[in-house]
Formats: sequence, structure tokens, C-alpha cells
Amino acid sequence: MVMIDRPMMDDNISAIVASDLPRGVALLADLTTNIKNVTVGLLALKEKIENDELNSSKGLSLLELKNQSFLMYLSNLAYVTLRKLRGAKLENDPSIDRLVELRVVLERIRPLEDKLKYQIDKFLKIATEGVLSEDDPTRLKGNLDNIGSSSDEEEDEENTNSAKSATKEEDKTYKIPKVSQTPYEEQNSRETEKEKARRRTLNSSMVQEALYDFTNDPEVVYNMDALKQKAIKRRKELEAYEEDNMIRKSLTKRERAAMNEITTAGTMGSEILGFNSLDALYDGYEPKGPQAKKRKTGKSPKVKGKGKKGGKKRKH
Amino acid sequence: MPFASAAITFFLVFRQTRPTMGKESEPKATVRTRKFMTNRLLNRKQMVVDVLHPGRSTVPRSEIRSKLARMYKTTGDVVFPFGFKTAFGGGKSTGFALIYDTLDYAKKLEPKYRLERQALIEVKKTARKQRKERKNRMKKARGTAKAKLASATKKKVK
Repeated sequence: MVMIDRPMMDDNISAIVASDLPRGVALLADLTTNIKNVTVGLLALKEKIENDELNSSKGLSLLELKNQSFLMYLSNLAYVTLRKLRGAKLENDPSIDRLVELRVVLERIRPLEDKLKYQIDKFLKIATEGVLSEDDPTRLKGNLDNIGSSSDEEEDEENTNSAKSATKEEDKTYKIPKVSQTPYEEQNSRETEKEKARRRTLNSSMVQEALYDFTNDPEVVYNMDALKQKAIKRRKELEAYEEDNMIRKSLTKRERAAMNEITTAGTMGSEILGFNSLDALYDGYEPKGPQAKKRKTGKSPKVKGKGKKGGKKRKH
Repeated sequence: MPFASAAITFFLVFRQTRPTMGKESEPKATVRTRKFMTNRLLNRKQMVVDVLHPGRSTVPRSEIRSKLARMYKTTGDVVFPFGFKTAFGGGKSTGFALIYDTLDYAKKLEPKYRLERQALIEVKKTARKQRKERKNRMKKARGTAKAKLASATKKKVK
């Protein structure tokens, strides 16, 4: 540690003090004006409460709880500030525990209040503006009976809208065609497609091995082959099933082959010895659309009877 | 001459101390059970059996049966081991075993092929070829002729 000599330190402190002093004075002045305004408002509120104008006995108990906890929080906070101003220690003070508890209560109230927000706003609106007009959207309520049926024959009164009732008179209403769910196919922009292709080539084993000597990353040795994981998982599931039910499940030829194939040279070889094209790393690359996944030697039905050749092959 | 005698004595001594390849004495097989459960509904105990047999081929079921009988202090005839599979590379096999309360329950509940393995029951089956030929003959007949064929060549199972 470099020791700053005392005179220089004093200069620093006085410089900081000089810059902060006017700001501090302004803040204190601000504080006094704000305190005056708040006291005026609070006195008015106190009078209202004493005259029983703000009776909350018929209100939501949650909001009442919120108000009370806020008040207690404020008083505890004032106490803490007072102690600090007097220079007393705050260690092991019970007011801190109370503050923490109140804070937690307030934080828990918040999501509950969010859930009630719609109802509260609605009632407030009714209280301030009287009864709502017929077209007010807040008056509409969802009709549970209408869920699931496409034909709107029965209408609930709460859903009435003058325009809507007019169209119901017609016989042939347009029924939305029922379409089965289809997966959303993301249409990525060309940039994201390029980015993806680029990332794919960069993470291929060929590139990784080529760059191995030049990166500073620590060498990671994985316990399990990424390619074998599926097979290992399948085997583990089978084992668990067999042991639970005390039964030996007979595997089909395909399943047995699938379990053994991961270790053979065929699957590993293409990954290790395959040659990925590095086109994606260059600027002028245009990514191709998603290709249909090719199935591995799917079962092709053997042609029974006469095939294309129609019987015996005849030599010419 | 002295060399020859020394060689002979050495050979004799060596022969005596050579370990005998007994069936059960030298190659070890450790039997451990897992997932043990007492099945009161079927009056038996069922478990998964792990056999460790390094340097040895898969342990035969009869040996496992005797070992399990010793472990659970029963006779060997109510112990039914089955489904043993050896792990790749050898040295370990896993299978299942059921130990019945009495032989009566065993005879009632066990599938016939397992009872046959332990010579508790004898199923007399006609040869497979004969059965198939009979079936094919029956395909050609109809009505009472078919029933006659069925009763004529049917052999009872003991």
C-alpha cells in the first residue's frame, strides 16, 4: 500500500467537503420545506380521521393491514433515524427486527394486492363516477358457459352489446372453422440463421480440435460421451423397469441394435472423421432452409407378388 | 545327475502346491441381494440378486440356489432363481430370485417352466413337429371330423 502523505490527504478531504457543502445545504433547505408541507397534510388527515370521515371498517382488510404496517414502518424508521442522529449504536436494537418484519409483511401484501387490483379499480370507479354506462367494458364479465361451444345460441345478459345482438338475428352465422393445433414454425431472420449456422460450425469437433492448440481454455475431460448418453439413459430406464417388476423385458432386434450401435465405428466415425464445410464462417453465406430429417433405413415394404418388372426378367 | 534329481524334486513339489481347480472351492462367487421385499399376498420373498464372479464364467442357477438357501436358511427347493444376465466384460451377473414359504405355494404359484427346471413337475409335451402337423391336419377337417382329430391325437399333460 502506497502511503499518501498527510498534507495531501487533508487537501483531498477539504476538496471533497468544498464540493459537497453547497449540495448538502440545499438538501437541508429542501428537507425543511418538505417537512412543513407534509405536516400540513398530515394534520388535515388526522382531523379527518378524528371526525370519523375515513371509516374503513367496511373496507378490504388487506388494505387496512397495508396501511397499518406502513404507519408502523414509518414510526420505526423515524426512531432509527433519531438514534442515528444522536450518534447511538443500532446494534441489537429491537426496532430493526420490527422493521424487517414489517418489510416482509409489506412485500407479501404486494402480489395479493396485484391480484385484487382489477376489482379494486372497478369499485373505485363506481364509487367516484356512480353507475357505469351500458357500454362500459369493465361491466362485461366472461360467460363460462360459452367456453367450448362454437354456436352462440344462448347469450347471457351480462354480455349484451347492442351491436352484437343485432347480428345474432341472422340465421347463418359465421362459425370459425375448427383447426387442429399445428406447431409454430419460427421464421428466423436471415441474420439469426446465419448466426446459428456459424455457431454450429464453430462448435463442431473438427474446428474445435483444430483450434485446440491456440485457445487458452483449460482442458475439459468429460466422463461420458455425448453420443452415448441416449443409449445410457435408455439402458438405465430399462434396468429400473426390470428390477422393479422382476421381469426381463425382451428387446426387439432393432432395440438391441440401437443399444449396441453407439459403440460401433459407424456412429462415432462420422463425427470424428467427418468434414464440416466452413462456409458458414464467411460473409457471403446463405443458410438453407430446414431440411427434412432423413430416416435411417426405414422399413420399406417388401413387394409381394409381382413387382415393377411384372414377373420373370427376360434377357435380351 | 544331481541337476536332474533337483529338477524332479522341484517338479514334484511344484505339482503339489499347484492350486486345484475345484468347481466351487477356488473360484469365488459372491451373492448379494437387493430390493428385498416380502410379498405376503403371494407368500414369498422376492429380490434382485447380484452375483460377483471375477475370472469365472456365469454361475449356474443351481449354485445360486444353494447359496441363497444358505443365506435365507431354507431348503433349496423353494428357491427359484431366474433371469440372470451377465454384464459386458464378465465378472458380474444380475438376476431375480423368489423364495416361497412352502413348497405347496411354490407349486401353485410358479410358472410351469420354472418348476420343470427344478424337477418338481414334469410336463409331457408332444414333439413340436407333431403338434404342428396335427394343427395342419385339423385345418383341413370341419365339424365333427375336426373334433375327432382333436381328441384322437391329444396327449394329456401330467
